[in-house]
Amino acid sequence: MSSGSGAATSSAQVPAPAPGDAPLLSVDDLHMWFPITSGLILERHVGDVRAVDGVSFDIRRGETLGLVGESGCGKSTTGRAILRLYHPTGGSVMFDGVDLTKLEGEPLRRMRRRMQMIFQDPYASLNPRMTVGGIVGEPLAVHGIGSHAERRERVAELLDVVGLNPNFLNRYPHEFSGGQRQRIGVARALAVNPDLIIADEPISALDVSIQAQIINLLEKLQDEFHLTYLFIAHDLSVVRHVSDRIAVMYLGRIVEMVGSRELYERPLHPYSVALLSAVPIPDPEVEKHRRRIILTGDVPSPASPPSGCHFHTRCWLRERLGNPERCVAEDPVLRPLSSGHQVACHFAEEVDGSAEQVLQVTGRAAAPSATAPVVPTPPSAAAPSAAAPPPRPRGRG
Amino acid sequence: MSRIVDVGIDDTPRAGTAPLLKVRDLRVEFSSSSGRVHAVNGVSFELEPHELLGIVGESGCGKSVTSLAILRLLAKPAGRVVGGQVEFDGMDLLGLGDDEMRDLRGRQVAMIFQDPMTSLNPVTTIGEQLIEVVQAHTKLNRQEAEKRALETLELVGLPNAKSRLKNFPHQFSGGMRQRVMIAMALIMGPKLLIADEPTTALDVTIQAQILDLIGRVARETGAAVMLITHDLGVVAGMTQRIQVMYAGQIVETATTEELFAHPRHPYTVGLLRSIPRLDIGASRELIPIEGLPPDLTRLPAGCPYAPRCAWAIDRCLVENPSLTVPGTTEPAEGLPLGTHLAACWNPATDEEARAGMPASGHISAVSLAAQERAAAAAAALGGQS
Repeated sequence: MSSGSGAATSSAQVPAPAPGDAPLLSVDDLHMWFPITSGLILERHVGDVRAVDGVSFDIRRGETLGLVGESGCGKSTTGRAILRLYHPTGGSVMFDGVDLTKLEGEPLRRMRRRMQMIFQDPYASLNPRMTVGGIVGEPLAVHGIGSHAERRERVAELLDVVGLNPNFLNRYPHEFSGGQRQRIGVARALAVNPDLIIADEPISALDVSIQAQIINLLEKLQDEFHLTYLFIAHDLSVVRHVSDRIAVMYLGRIVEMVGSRELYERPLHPYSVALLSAVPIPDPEVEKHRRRIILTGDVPSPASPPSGCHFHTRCWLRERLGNPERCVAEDPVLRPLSSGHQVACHFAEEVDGSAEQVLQVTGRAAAPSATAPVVPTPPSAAAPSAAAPPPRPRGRG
Repeated sequence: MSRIVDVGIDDTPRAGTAPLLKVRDLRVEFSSSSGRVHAVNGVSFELEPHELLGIVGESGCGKSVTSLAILRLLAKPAGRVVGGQVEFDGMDLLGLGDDEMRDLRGRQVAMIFQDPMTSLNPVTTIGEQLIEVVQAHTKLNRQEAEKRALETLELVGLPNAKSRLKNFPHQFSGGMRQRVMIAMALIMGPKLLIADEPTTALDVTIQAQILDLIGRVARETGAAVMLITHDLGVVAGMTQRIQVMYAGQIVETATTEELFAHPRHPYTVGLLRSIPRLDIGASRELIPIEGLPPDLTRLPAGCPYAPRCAWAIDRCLVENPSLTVPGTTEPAEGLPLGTHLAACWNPATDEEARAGMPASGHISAVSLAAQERAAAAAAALGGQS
């Protein structure tokens, strides 16, 4: 596999990891290319879909990293390649010091016990012929944990943890609503006491009023079980709410990685700015002051991504700068611009302080009282799942 | 590129204040194996010419069915209008003959559907599909119809419109397909455009393109727009007025700014407090709406939201409120359009709306009982402890 373009990115990752705080997951220059073949009998390899094209990031223990991007940007493929549901074409995935890409067979199976996945579609990801008890208990059976009776007890306990009635062990998935099914998916992921959970669009298929139930559940579980999350989603509002840090992906690459609050307040990649500006905010007072950057055209095909910076074909900044050649000729590397803020753009400095960057955010400009003030909400009967243990000392946005 | 399409279409000057669309006590039912589904239960509203109205609600709240009933496109024979009136531009739509209705659809009222892939014919070029619309409604010949198709595609910003006329739907991306759908809706210069979740299937940057486009063409053509969505963010920046629907009823309506600044119905409050906001982040805790929407085959006797409502009082469980000026019993009839109305016996105050929950004194034994009932109902349906 070619590693020409990737070699540059690998050296420039992780701004300043705190000493002695080794990341739980360390992804380095991950590539996942799917071959395009032609011909019926003799299949010729005629190209590749570069779904993931050199992605590097770390996740510390107990942290939530949000992976955000539009459909086809490679965010789900990244999650699946990490769990070895695909075999990555290149790069390494260090999980607690072990390179998952080099593992096969029994050692891989044993490692998998420590990483679990929550899927997007709770209608498709639960076997309709299995009972809830069977579904949630299956990971335990696969990994040979406990006796049959112990497993049953554990499943009942898990259902209780995710807010389902433990007596529903013998029911089938079709007897549950979407939100309840997603709780079953969460219980299954929790069954083997994993360290890392990769949640791939866990709430996108749910109704608005149910989404908050699942978000709050995931946050409560993280506190209770010290989970580490890779949270994959297209909805920036949701990602900002749950993540400590966010990586923005575009066409197989990470274009910006930064703390979730700073991403909103000071985005430095032209794509991030456009993406943030496109997210509607449910407040007409705020919307009035924002300016939307309308990107023209669609995301190019990952089978033949543009040369240089993948975003250059739609970039508003490049247009403003008089279409510099460098964007077409040279791959931008993910470089640190300030502490904990990495951007893959040759001209990221030009974004800082630009009208586009300032105008996509407006809560700042408008009087704070115009937007809903931050109300510290006491735990109450109306929000039982909010009655969480003391708040985490975290820099969440 | 501001040319639209007003050849041979009646463009009679609209009377100043006469509403374009008047819906009175609309009721729609579907028959299903598990009984009669009460999808729309007495919906009344008006829409003025050139107005941008948002209809917000979750799946199953009746927002799409309302629009399909207006257009008489309900799935037959399961779905039928069992009561109410729909008046469009002085015509009684429910009383029109099938031929008249067919002529009105597309020409005067057009619809943009959620999924452009399943709404376009996959085996015909988009040029043919657009020309078909024109020729179905006018006596224009093929060249003229093609010219009209081209102009409309240019209006919606489709690049290389001329060569694209010969393309099939699968040759377009999702966003471009939605542009074609919008062109098809606009080609006859309708007075009312119903957009049913027009951006739900699209990525956020493409959604921004399409919303921008709908807003622009509405301005340029003067069409009124009914924007149906589950996304409060989408309506916040696009509409002048909003109606919130729950269980087939309008539970709250106000101008967009008023609704977001002073939500009164607990369901509206719940929606606003249960979605994360990009500009606020995790510093604001999400307050979920507990429980599940009601089973539309067995609606509760009182307010359909009562079983999930933290504000519920005794009366809510026995008597379904109708739309009134919040906190009064003043009926909605005769009040000017845009008056803030809510269907609630115990509306939220501003402070409660911001907190997302009733002031502590308000959590009465009844509302706790209601919550227990809700939990029991959920359990009966197969779920939550």
